[in-house]
Amino acid sequence: MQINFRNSLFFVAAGSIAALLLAFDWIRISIGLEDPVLNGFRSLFTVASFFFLYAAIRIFRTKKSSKPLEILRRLVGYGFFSAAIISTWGILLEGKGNSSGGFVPSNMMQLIATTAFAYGIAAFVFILLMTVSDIIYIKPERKVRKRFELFLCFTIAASLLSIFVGSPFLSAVREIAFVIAVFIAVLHIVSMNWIVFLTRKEKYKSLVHSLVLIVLFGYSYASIGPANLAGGVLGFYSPPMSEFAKIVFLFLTIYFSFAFIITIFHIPTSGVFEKKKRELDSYQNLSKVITNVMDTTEVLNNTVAVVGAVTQANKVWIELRYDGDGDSADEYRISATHRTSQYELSAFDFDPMRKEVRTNSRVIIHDAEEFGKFGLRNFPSKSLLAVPLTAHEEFIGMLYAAHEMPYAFDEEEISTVSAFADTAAVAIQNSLLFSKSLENERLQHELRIAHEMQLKLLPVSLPSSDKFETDFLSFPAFEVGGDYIDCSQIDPKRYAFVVGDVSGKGTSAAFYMAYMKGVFQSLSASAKSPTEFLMAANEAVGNTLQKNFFITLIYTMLNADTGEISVVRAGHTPGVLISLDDKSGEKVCRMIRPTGVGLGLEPSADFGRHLGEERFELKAGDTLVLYTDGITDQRDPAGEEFGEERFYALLKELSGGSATEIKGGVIRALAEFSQGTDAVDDTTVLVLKWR
Amino acid sequence: MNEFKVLTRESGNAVVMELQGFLDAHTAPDLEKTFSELMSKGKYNIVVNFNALNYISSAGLGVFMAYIDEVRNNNGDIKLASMQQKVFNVFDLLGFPYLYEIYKDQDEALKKFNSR
Repeated sequence: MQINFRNSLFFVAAGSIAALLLAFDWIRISIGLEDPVLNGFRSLFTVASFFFLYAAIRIFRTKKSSKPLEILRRLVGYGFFSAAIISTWGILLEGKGNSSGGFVPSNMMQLIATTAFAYGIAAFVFILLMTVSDIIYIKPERKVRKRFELFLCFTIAASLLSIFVGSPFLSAVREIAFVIAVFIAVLHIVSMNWIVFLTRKEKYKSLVHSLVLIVLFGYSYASIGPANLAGGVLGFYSPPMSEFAKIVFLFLTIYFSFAFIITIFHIPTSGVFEKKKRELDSYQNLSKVITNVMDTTEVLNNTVAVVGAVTQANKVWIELRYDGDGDSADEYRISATHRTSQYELSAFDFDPMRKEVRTNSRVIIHDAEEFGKFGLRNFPSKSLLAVPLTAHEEFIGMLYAAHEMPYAFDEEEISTVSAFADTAAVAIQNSLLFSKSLENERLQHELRIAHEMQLKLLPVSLPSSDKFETDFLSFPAFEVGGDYIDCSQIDPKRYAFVVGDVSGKGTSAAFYMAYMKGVFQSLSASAKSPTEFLMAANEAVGNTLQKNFFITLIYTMLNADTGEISVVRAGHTPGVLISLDDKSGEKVCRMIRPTGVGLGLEPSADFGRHLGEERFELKAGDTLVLYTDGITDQRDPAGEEFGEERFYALLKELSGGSATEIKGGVIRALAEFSQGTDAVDDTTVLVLKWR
Repeated sequence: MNEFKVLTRESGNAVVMELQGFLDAHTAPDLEKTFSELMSKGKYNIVVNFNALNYISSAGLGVFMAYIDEVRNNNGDIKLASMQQKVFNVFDLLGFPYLYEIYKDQDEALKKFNSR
């Protein structure tokens, strides 16, 4: 609010008229002038002056409030001041009243006091009226505003009519307007909405305030009657204001008398109101539950706590459904409890209740008798409410609330809890999905680490010399695989090369692959011959592997001086030797396939009997290729296998190149053939070329 | 999805197990289930007919290894019959002919059981 010239103009106008009236009154008293017509005009001037005062106060009144108790406190303050003015101002005018209650000031001092008193009362009446309108306008219906305006109209009308004291007819009209104004005042009792929304404690405070206001306003009303000094003084200065103040104080007295009574009537129902408020708060809590989707446990615990707060149930719990594998039944696990425990609940079988909830959407038990129907005769509650948790049309679990009193859940609570359950179910589902994706991410991370670890188990490079060169590639179909490739130098002349394949794929195969590396590295150095190595390896593997797992292996021992080579095979894909045919001069592929059973399939005695060893000598330009079936099993988009035939033809074509060129050619050919079709098996190839 | 089916029927003192489709890591549990059912019924003379089996992976081979000891300990056997060439190659590479009796057709295998 800005104080400027225009705003203070009303004060100036009110003050100017008041000064003029003061001068006029001085003359009037001095010469004892009592002309009714002149007095009527004078009264009109007082009305104008009070109007300006009202307008000025309205502009300067800035602190409006919508809190009932704060308004009541202000009213008590203003009411106290106005009552104080009414009761004390008389001291200044003592003994000047006459028997009829009329009052005429006798000197200038009294005249000034009279004027000041009139304006003081008027100012407080206006302020009180504006302040009480604040409380009337809390949660108003439209007719309340209208009614209040109507009340003001009749009050003003009655006030103005008091100017014409001489006319019996107009006096009668004034009386009628007065009665109507009071009648409308009484009507205001139906719209005391603000009382309903007070808490119990606030209602008690409101009662005290109302009582004080009744006393203050009642006293004020009684004191400004025509028979009293205050009434006489105000009546002398301005009959309309006297009438106006009287009606306003009467209105205020009536209003707060009713407010007092209505508050008393509403005290017993404050429990209901407070419960509603609690439900509202709980809904707000629930929305917090829903935005917090990170932690399933927290969502579950919040949900049972909120339901516990709304229903004041003595036990609340949630059970979640876990899909049974295949034929086995779904499993239910108690996931959150409030004022009860898993231990307590585990003694009871809720299966009949679940069935009922899934067919009829909820179970409500009102007395101990009904518990028996669900086989829960000994359950330590007399009421129970069970509703389904359904998210995205999927039944994910149940929410239970139990109470030790019979008939503890009313319709309202039941629908509240049901609505709760629907919202909570979505929150629970979301948090479950979230934690599942977190778990997936963690597993992905673990697998990446496993992948890197397994890469470290593969050799960085294989040995070469001026007589031979080697190259290899090995990659798993998934993050980790069961293919194995390695090399070890047995003595200065001899090297052992091995390619293997663990049955199965993925993690389990990867562990056996790592185990195989240990077996190879420890046995190949001490084994005198390839056969001896495989016998020892079968012994080691046979005692370790599960029955339905096995390892296939192809093992070659190369004499790096002479090119002599010997090959043993334990059930593995045969090797290929690509060489020039002596007679035709053409490239030919020869399958290197000594007999042998996979490691871990039979006891060592039998294993040894079935084991063959193939020896030959590499000639310049010869290429030996060892590989796993991931190469020949690779499929194209149409589902056709790469196959042995295609692979052999490819090797013939590539065999003119170096080991690295041959390896590169195989990779390119596989990529071209698969056209992006994922590898179904781990793929490994080793190329050994004799220069 | 590649289908896999196992049909069993009794023939004399043996049970014929007929495999159809693709036997790999996904379908191997079906075959395991059939084997363990036979074990629980005390049926240890088993002829497996591979005629309608188009593919077998190492996981599929593992199933036969898992039960062979139990079968033989109970004086029974698992005899394999009527393999397609491709399927036989897989068995052959791994050295299964050293471990199992493999027959050209099912009747030949049954005869072995019945003549005992």
